[in-house]
Amino acid sequence: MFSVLVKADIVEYCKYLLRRANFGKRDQANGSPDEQLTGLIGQQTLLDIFHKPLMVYENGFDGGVDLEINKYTYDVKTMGRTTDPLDHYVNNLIALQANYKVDRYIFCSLNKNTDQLTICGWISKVRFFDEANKYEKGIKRFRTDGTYFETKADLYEIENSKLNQASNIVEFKQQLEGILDDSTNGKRTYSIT
Amino acid sequence: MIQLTENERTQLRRAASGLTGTEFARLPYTSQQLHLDDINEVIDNLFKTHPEAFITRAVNQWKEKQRNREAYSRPQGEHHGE
Repeated sequence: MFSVLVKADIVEYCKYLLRRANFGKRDQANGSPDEQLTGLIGQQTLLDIFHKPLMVYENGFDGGVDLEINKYTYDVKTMGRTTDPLDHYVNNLIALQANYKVDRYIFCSLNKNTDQLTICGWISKVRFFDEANKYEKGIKRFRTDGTYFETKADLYEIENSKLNQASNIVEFKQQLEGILDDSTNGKRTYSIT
Repeated sequence: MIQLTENERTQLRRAASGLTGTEFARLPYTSQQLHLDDINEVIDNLFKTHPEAFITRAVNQWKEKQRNREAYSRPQGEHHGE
């Protein structure tokens, strides 16, 4: 895992997009505004890392949002936290989102206290469903601090330690831009440093 | 991410704050349009000054919007259909 400082301009740009989108639709999209903003910041920061075009508002966020690198499409999932993530922390994916046509997932964690975005790792969609644990709707999921939440929909969870990880931007870009031998179908071939 | 000028940064901050979605929804239609025009100006300026930062499709749509705006704009005080 590695972290990057989220640029202040990216935060403002994402706030702008979110505000514009909510005005355009005249109702609230799925997820709280805070969750939406977290997701946008994660996506835009990843786009920035790979020097991809800015997201734009086009009846939603479909204009340039999809991250495509070396012919693979990615869904960027960002979770907002007030701490930095650890290896045993989990990433969630709502089962309804599992039908989205992407090749791989990138999981990130945004520390809202420090504005650090940690890129926890990536995994191919095929391997994700091999490795992830599925929890049915209504089950209590306990956090490490003892608190819990009840799942509102079927949920998949995967630990950070099961993701392909990189220790810095250069390594991360090398992995995604084609250095990785994908004959492993996205299996972890990098050790955690 | 593009390098914003201080002026662009100020404009972006202003457009990113202010009315909430609920407050906006309560405004009369004409006020909503004025408000949208106001915050759209930010993105219009970014398209003008940093077109390379956006996907081609988005730039083309923006250009078409500008052309339509010019084609269908009416001089102040001109009335039709009355």
